[in-house]
Amino acid sequence: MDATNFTSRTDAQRRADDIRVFRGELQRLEQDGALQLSQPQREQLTQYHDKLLARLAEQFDVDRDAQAKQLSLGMRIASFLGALALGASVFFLFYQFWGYFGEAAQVAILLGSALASFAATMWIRTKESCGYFTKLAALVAFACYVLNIAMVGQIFNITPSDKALLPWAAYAFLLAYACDLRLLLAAGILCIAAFISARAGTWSGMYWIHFGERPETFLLPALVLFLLPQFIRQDRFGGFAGTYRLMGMLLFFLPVLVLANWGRLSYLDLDRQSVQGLYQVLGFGAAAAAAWLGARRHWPEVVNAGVTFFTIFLYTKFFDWWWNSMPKYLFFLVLGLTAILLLLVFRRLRAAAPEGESA
Amino acid sequence: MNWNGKSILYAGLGLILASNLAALGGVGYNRMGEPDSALRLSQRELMRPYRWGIERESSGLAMILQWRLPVDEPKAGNGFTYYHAGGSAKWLDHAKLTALGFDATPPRGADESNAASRLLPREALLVLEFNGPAYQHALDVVRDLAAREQALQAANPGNEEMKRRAKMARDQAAREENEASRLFIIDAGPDAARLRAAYPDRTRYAIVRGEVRASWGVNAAGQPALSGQVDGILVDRIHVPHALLSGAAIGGARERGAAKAEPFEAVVNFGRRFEPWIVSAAGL
Repeated sequence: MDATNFTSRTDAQRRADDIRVFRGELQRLEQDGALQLSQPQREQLTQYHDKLLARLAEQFDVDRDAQAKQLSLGMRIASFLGALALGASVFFLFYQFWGYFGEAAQVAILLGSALASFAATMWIRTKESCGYFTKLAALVAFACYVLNIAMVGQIFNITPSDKALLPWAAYAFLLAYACDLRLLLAAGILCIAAFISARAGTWSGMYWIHFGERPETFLLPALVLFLLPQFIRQDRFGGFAGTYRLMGMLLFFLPVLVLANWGRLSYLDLDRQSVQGLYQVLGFGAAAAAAWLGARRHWPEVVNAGVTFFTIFLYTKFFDWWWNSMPKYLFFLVLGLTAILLLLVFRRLRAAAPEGESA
Repeated sequence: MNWNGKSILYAGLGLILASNLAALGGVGYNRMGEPDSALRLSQRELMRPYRWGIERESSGLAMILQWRLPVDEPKAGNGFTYYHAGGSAKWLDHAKLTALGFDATPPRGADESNAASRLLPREALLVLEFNGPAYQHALDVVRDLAAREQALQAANPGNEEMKRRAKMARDQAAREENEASRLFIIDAGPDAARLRAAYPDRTRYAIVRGEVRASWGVNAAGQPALSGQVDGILVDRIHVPHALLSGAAIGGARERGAAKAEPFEAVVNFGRRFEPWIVSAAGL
């Protein structure tokens, strides 16, 4: 028995969940008379699992049973809300009192807050690796750093620049990987995607803040993010690969959805209808391909996102075709029947799908 | 690469320090040596923002630069814009916009959907003129309008409409003389050195970074032509240094729409990166 084979908390938690399920199934088998272990076998098995669970709990702070799992969810929510509240508190504390200090003191306070909150996060991390307090501290540290850069810009009337997104992204990634925090990973991904989009826009002469008016600048970063886990393994970080894929899909499909309805926003030198038609076809095709790929590679987030966007594209087309021409009760009946049809299709696909491990 | 706790700590501390040094280094560069320009602005050109929402919580103060665009045609009964807003200007014509980098390829036909017709705003260097010919022209326009409306009223005694218009024109002239901002955006270009050569008086003309938008229309000859408007100045909120906050002068600056402001005069410098800062302020 060796708990060090586990590379991440997610792996460890999966093993703990398997043990819990196994114990429940073994009990039912014994009750049904399908299997009967001898007393020495039962004792040896129980001893083995208890020791393993104890080691996993000590090393990875896993939930040993269903009740602990529910409490963990509550702790995660409390941690997130606490981080939001503390971050807001830091912001308003500074905002309320900054006028009483000179510029040098203001900078010192901002810089000191960012440094202190980061150092505190690292210290808490040594006491409670990948725990809830670490995550809370990491979120507060990120809020302090964002406040630091933003307020220095306000104090000294610095011209707003997309370059601020770079250090924010770097810091978010650093904290995400140090503290195993997917929320900060998502924040870092958004910052870097926004920076790339803004930079790409400035190459065509556009003022950077209007990068949202050319959604195509998000497509290439989205693709890179989606493929990144294939080239840089994320095994040691639970859920990070899925986060990259999901964020990549969101950054791809949302711009495609926008362009499918507002073709004027495209770089393509075509008329609006052609652009919209092109992106509608791309949207449907890519969503279906994503659902297929996700099912094949056992990536649930990819399947869910693919199916969701396929449905959204379908419903927007129904709206374009029938909203004005059809009685409303009939329109919503069609939507409902389409949903039932999709359910039947997915049930058939699920029945036909072979079993396998996640990639 | 396997990062341990110490590596992560040094990386994070280094990132925080480096980014702050970069930001403050930029500020130092902007304020190094002689400023690019220094304007003596008053409560007419520097206004306190509305205190609502999060602004109510702030103990700091940032003044909004009130700029305007030159107006050519006097409009009877209409006031000039006293608060800054985007707008079009005659000098922002097809040639100027092309020089700023806007694509001069006209759109195909009347369809507004093709790429040539969908121009996004660009960053440009703008020239701010303080209390110069543009303001003098605005004064002449409203005074002339007031005089004409007064003459009309005198020629039509008892006509209530004429009386109302004459009063409105007089009020407009009084506002222009005593309250309206004397800061006008009069030119734009991609090259700061050329702009400074064209406007060498650094106590009257400031070069700032702004945002310009263009759209396609037709000129007097019926040909497709670009027309532009100024969307804004990138840094139009200027933080008031702590040392000046306690002074009654700038500390009592009026909010928009409020009663008359206490008069003050502030020196605003614009540096090498065309970013402003308030150097001093005194009551008048």
